[in-house]
Amino acid sequence: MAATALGRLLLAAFTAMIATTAAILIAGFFSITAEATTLTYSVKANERACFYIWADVPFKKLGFYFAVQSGGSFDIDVEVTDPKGVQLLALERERQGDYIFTANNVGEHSFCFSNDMSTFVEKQIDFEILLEKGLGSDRPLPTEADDQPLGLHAEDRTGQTETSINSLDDTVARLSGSLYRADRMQDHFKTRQSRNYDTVISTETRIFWFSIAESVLIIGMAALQVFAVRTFFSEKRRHFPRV
Amino acid sequence: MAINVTRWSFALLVLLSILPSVFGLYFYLEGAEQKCFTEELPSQTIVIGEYAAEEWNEDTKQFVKNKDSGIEVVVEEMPEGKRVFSQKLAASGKFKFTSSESGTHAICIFSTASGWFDNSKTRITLDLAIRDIGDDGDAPEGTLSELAMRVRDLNDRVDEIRREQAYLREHEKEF
Repeated sequence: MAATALGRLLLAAFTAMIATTAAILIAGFFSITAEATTLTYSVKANERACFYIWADVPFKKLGFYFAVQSGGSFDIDVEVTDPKGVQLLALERERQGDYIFTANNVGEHSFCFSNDMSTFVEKQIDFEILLEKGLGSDRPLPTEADDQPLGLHAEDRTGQTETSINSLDDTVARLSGSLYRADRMQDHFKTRQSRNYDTVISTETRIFWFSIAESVLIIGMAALQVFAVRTFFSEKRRHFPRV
Repeated sequence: MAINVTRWSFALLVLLSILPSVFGLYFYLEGAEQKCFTEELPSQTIVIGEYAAEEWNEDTKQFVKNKDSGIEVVVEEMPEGKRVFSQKLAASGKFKFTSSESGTHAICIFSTASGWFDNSKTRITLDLAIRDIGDDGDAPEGTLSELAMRVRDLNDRVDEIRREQAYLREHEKEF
């Protein structure tokens, strides 16, 4: 029992390490030009929950991050489909993932989480879907009317030299990339912390039930022994051989 | 040439009719189904949700914005299930609430358009933003240069990271 818990911890740490490396490798990519929505959703047992995003221009990059925060063995089935029904990603029993797809087709892309493997455990999933903002496209939310295209160079520079603007741009871009990595790291730590918490709680529960079972067994054994000894001195003495 | 133009404009029309009203993450609700999102919030944190709800119209076979329909947002504090915020809102707009205690909050959204037996499909586009209560609001559009806006965005992200860190620290203390 302890070995399984330890094994799970080690596996989680190892997976986290690999995932962190992968995340760092692709970090900074979405540093400037992405709109992201991060949500935490609880997928009930045998539920299939789907979230969609609309790609308006072909060949935009779609970023997808998910991590199972709690529930069972922290795994979930994931399926990503593009508008034409082509499966971009199909994973079974994955704990976390960080992927980038190119949305080749315009339309509705679906990200589905499926909890078929559980009979009653609900899984809490942290996920983030990023869509690269095209150069020159408007900000999507209608309440923030933004007519400025989101290009990479500032439109209004009042009395500043070209070089200083460019270095500011670079600094901001670098900061943005570092922040993205820091954010991802923190997500990994948060996931690890909830898994560790879950392991500790499950260990506590197992110890509790083990000690109860042990007490019951001891009392049962004692009662059995008392009963056995009593039968030696019972009325049916004649069945025992006389020495 | 003329035929091509008609075909393209028709395709564009069809495409526009099925476009979600907002380009962001969206999901579908059947009838009175609700979808809940959990957020771990420290105390005194404002959550602003920007949403748009569209209903499936059988006659035109599209998702349309219906002025009469609306959504209901219910926020409960998780371990006890205490209701912190409940509001019925119009088909699109913003909702805002402040967390009084630190903990896990469940933000549940469901469509009020349909009754118990109605099975209409609703498409909800949602974007949640979490801010500290001390933050000043967004500056009016057009007063900031693009670079300043990006720096402000970086500031917001740093705040978010710090806030999450503070929450994790608190969680670990209890642990």
